[in-house]
Amino acid sequence: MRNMKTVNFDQLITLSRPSPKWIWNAQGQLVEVAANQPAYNHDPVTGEALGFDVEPAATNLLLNSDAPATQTVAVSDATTYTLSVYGSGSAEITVGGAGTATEGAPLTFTTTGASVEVTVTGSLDYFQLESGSVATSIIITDGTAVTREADVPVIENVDTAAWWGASEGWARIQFDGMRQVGGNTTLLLLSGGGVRFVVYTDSSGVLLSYDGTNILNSGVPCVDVPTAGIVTWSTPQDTFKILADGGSVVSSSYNGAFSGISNFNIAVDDMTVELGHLSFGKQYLSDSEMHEKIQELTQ
Amino acid sequence: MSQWQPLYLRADDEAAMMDALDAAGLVDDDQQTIGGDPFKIRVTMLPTLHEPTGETLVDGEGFEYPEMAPVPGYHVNVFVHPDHEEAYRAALADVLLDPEPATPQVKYAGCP
Repeated sequence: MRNMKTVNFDQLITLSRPSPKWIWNAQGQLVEVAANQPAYNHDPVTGEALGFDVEPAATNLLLNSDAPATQTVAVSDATTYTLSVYGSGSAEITVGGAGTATEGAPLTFTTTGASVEVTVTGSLDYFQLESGSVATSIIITDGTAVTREADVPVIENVDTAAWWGASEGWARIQFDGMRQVGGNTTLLLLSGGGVRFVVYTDSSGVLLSYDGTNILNSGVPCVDVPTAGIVTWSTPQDTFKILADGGSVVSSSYNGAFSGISNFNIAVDDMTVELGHLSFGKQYLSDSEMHEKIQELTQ
Repeated sequence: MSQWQPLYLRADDEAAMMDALDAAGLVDDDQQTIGGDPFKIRVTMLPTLHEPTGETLVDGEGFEYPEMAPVPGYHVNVFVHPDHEEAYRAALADVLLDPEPATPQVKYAGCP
């Protein structure tokens, strides 16, 4: 891979998380990350980097969560909750459910009433009770239950000209079950120096390219199906290829030279893009799959 | 950047709350997804809230605890970007608690 540069997080991703959140740093300390700032979490025991932490919203129903004490809190009946703790000791659901949570072993259970009693044993540092089947990052409460809002990272219409040697590089774009709502959708735009090369899907979701003169139709549907279509282009060969399902290849020479490209816009619409080893997408960052990808990339 | 602002909502029941959220553009057409543009507003559906009745009960082991009763109505918290607070206050006026509760039972992290 040539001509790739390291870019700052905010050059690539716009993050919205109006709440601060608490994560573990590499030294095993619980630290607060300000609202709208990316949080890079670590394993509190090993210090292993866990990457950019993308989480759904969650509400910790337990009061004074940094001084755990036995208490009863209102919940929704017949609903899945998860109890998690940090420190030596445990927390047990003694009314309204059953089970015990210890550090590293959260308890997911279903409520059997409109309240649960959480009984603390030993010396816990933090405890948390939240709806759902996953223990999310620590939410510190006082005398009130507290909601930490979701991380919503978005990539859209990124102009990579400042960090991409477009006239000499290559790119690969992968479309995985992309969604499209009517009309043509521009996925990749290379422009500048007299070049205008567009990769797009038409209204039926078929992948095409247009070099200013010729339309190349791959015949590959890549919308609403888990088809992986890949486009590669290279200079100075002035050629590009469209591949689908890892097999069929449609290739063509560009109408002219690829030189002088000054703008390389990606994620103009819903898509997943891979630049060398870096993969990201606009629509899928909030789901668990993209969460895992982001974590891998940022470890 | 200014802080996002919490708004506290209460309707007589869930149906009335859904109608109010829908009217404010916070329910998708499929009636399945609640929430708007996450860069403008976040919506938190709350479980049934409870408050002390003032009575004290005793459990089977002799420990005293306050009797709790459901708070009437259906409650939702929303968190609004300051640039859109005025618009959402207007759109949600029918269910907006104004003045806001002095001691909300659920608040957003970072809010007093």
